[in-house]
Amino acid sequence: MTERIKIQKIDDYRWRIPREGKMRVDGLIYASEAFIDTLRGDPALEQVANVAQLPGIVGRSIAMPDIHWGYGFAIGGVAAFSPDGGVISPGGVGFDINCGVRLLRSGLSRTDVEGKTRELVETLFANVPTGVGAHRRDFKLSETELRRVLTHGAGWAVSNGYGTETDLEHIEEGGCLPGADPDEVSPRAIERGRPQLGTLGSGNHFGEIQYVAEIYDEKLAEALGLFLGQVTVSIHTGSRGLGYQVCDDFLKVMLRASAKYGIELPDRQLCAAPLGSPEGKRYLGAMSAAANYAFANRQMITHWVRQSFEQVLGVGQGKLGLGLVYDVCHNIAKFEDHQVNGRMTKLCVHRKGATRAFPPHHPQTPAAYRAVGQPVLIPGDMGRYSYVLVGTELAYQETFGSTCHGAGRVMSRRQARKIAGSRPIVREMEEQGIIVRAAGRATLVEEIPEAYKDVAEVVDVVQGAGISRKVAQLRPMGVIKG
Amino acid sequence: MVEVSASSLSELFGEAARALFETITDLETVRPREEVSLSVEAGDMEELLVSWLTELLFLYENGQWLFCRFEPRLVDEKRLEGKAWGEKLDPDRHPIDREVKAVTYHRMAVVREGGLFKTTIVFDV
Repeated sequence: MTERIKIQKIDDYRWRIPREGKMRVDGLIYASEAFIDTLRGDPALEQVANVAQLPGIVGRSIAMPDIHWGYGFAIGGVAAFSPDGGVISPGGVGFDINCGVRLLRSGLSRTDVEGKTRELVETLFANVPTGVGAHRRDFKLSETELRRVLTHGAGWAVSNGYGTETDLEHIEEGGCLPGADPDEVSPRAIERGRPQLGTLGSGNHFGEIQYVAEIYDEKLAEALGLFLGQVTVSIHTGSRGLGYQVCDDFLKVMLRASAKYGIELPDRQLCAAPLGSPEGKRYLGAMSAAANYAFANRQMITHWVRQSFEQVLGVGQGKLGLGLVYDVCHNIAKFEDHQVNGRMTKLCVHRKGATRAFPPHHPQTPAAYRAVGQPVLIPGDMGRYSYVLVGTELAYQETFGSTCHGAGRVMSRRQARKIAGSRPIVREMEEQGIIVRAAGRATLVEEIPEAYKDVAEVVDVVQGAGISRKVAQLRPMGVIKG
Repeated sequence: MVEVSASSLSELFGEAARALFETITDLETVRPREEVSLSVEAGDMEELLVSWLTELLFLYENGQWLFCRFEPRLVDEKRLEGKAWGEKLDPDRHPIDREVKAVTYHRMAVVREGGLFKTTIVFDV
């Protein structure tokens, strides 16, 4: 089946899947020659072509260089739909609704925390609930309060003492999607969400203490408040069990809706409903509520990260300066204004394993970054590095203002276990100067650096294609994982 | 992804549940100390299997239950009454390998081959 997917080279970083059969638009893949070679025969390409068949798709079905197979839509995909005849699909958002990354900068240099990394990691591990069933003893959430979280997102956290108003300005959508409808979130989702707010979770989610190892553009770095040798902290997590349950609940609704509205599906897992339909609106309301939960989740963890640094280093926030650079979503569907045939049009943009990358001077790029573009955060594996980029005008024109989201696996979890099952991963990492603390013993083995693509190669593609610009590289010093 | 097979449908559901908890922990360490009753309903056989596993996963996630013995009884293709035996998670005794985030429908089909019922289940971890 996959052999039938035709790929045409456009330039060194762009490839076209030409429209044929039931495809309504072309597919567009961002990849280097080397990536394309590994992708030939990959079911992810077929998924890009499948998405191109959905009603109301606008422009192209887009794939980022970190693309890999996902539920229905490939992970690393972007698709925009017209409110007029277009659809919304839970498979285009993913199970972990508003999984995302945030980056904190500090006023500290690497030398300021020398010899204290282990204590910082242990303190973070103690303060930020990590792994199954972990939660803070000092935090309990009533159902009424959870519904407020679902409505107000990160704003709820800030008004309850977790962080500052300034934080909110540095979060995609200000940390709150409008239109969230807690009544569309099932009792089961609420039940799963209550004990898990303010927890990291497991798998590829992490908290990481890093330092700025390279600066690629001084002017951009300065605008983002980054300097060489600076200590930073990244947090990668999402909407936990609540988001999963919302996705699960609505996959059933959407399977029925697809049949009801006569949407022809090349794959059951692409099940969708028209944007204007009751089912579509209900999912949008529930998905936005789950997204807000994720914003609040990352905001609370941020607060405990700040406390952990104060605790270990014995200095206040004034000196630590743990300010939020930015917070991005990489599993989301949102209404945004984009140019279609020279006209500003409202579209529902699905980004699944893709990051918004708005250009300089865009009204939704925070005021502090207006001149340079929206910060984009690309986490790598736990052993190598992560990147900070900014969005570009070209991204706005070509990809609905989107770019890649991470490294992408090259090895299944099972393969990783096979090759690294008996290796002392914690010691291996320590020999590289990285302190790792993990709740699950298998998680670490499955998350070995070589299980992932080199994120540097992914980032070079989006920079080469001009849909993002590199600002800085961050290297890990300490990692907590679930 | 796990593949399970069994000589009856009820047994297949039990094996699938064992596979779920084997993904999470070392089943050798879990003792069948307490009994929990469950009943699930669904639109078809595949949905019923996903719902059964999802219900068990929910009991683990929100109640910290680890199960090692199962007795699912299929009333018909759309309804199941079952029992599971296990105990509450004790971090000192139960090594947690990983968290299963969801049971997916991906590639799921319950098929009969020869005298055996077979299925493939993809756990999202």
